[in-house]
Amino acid sequence: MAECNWTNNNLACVNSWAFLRVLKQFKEVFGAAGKLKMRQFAYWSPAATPEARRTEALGLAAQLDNMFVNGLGAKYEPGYNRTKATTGMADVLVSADKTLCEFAATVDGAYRFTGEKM
Amino acid sequence: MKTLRRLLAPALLALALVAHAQDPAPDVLTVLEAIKSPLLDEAARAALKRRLEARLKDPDTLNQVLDALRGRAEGSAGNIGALAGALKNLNVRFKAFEAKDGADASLGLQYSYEKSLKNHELDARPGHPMSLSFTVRAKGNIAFDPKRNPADFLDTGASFDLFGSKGGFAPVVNAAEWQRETQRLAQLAADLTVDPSAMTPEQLDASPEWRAFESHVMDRLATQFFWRASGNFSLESNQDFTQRQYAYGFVASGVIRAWNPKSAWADFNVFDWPFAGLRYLTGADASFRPSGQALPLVLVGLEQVDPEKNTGRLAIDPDKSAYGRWRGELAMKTKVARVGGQDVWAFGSYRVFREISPSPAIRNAGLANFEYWAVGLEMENGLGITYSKGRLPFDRKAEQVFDIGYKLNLK
Repeated sequence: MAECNWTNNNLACVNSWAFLRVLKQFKEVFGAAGKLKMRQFAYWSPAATPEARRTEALGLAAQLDNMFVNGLGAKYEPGYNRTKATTGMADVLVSADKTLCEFAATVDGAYRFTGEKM
Repeated sequence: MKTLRRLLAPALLALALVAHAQDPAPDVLTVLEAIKSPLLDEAARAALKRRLEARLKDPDTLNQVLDALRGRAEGSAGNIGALAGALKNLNVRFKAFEAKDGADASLGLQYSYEKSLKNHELDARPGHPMSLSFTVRAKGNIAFDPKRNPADFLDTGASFDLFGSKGGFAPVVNAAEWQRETQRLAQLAADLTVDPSAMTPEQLDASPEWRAFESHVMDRLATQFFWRASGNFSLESNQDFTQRQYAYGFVASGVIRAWNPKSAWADFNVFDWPFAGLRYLTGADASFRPSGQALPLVLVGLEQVDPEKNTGRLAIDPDKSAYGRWRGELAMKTKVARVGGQDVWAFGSYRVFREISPSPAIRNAGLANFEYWAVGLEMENGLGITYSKGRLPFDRKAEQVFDIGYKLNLK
């Protein structure tokens, strides 16, 4: 997995922020969003069990995968497919104190976005 | 409408101000460095040690130290860096356990670990993809003094998950052109707010750049149906494993997410109607607009439980043979107001456990059925209040608990 470096020069950071924001998971502007924690996202319910939360997280990860691949035309990095990319994102989404920056690092490891250098 | 806003706003604003005032300064590592200084005399060193001891009893301070050390370990080379990398999904937080008898709080740890170890693509075709994964998990509370652990429950287990997703995003006719334009607009919105002081979230929402991106993507968003079927194994125990039982069985869960606010699933989400009314009355929404993202999550399980060392149960019925039970959960979260520039969220969950064909002794002791529900409010800054009622397996009696908490959201 790539290291976490929150910058608008990285398409994984830009797309993670823009698509999660359009899905109403948070309101923060780009510069303030990198340190957001998973438990601050709209989908995170403090009362739900971890089992229920994983279902919610897998659903959100599947939606992002759909938007990245079918919407933005992203390709999977070598060694990744839809299932591995989705469960990798879900593993971060269920971790209360992981940040959006760390989530974007996982996205960066799994997808190659159009315009991104190989 | 104005009267209601006048009533709600001061109370919620006061909660926000109390939370803001609780930010502790992360100075433990600095004090630790200062104690080592050869320039200090013994009296100054002793004073610093006393200050350090006091700070180390505070779980928030310990969590900040833990985060700092984790950051250093992840950045280092060699075995320490490798170990930190392997444990990336392990979440450990210090926590103060409030004793029920009014005694001093006891320090302890709350931990969780969840990671999918093996994955397999069952159906890669677009439209209705299907996946299989194997996930391990562990979660629990460990008090340094076990007698003072009011939430003495550890759940350790693994599951085979079959899951799939349908819908969520409508295909694009001219994909290449749409992709280029979407990427251009997303980049534009990010570039505009690289400096967080350049715009507030509300100003970004109102900017032509964000509005162009949002409407461009929103046109393609559709309703998503997500399901998950799991073969599940759990070891449920207290922290010293003197009480434990095994549960294994089948769990099905699913969510419907109407990402597009124009969806009928959003308009007719009757579960969100009361909250949509509150959002409208408090001015958070300009119109009565139920959310399609606030449809409840549903989970149903059928499993066999082996009460090998569930001493509470065995004291009532010494039969150690496994028994069947079904269980269910409903969970929901939705925005309820916007106060003092912060969103206020309401959340709730209801859980039920029913033993299939319990013995008369178990039924009479009230151990055949368990119900538990929790509701609460939470603000963006981490301040929250939860009210829970009922009991879970291992609980001998029902309890009503108010939990007022504050989670530090460092930025």
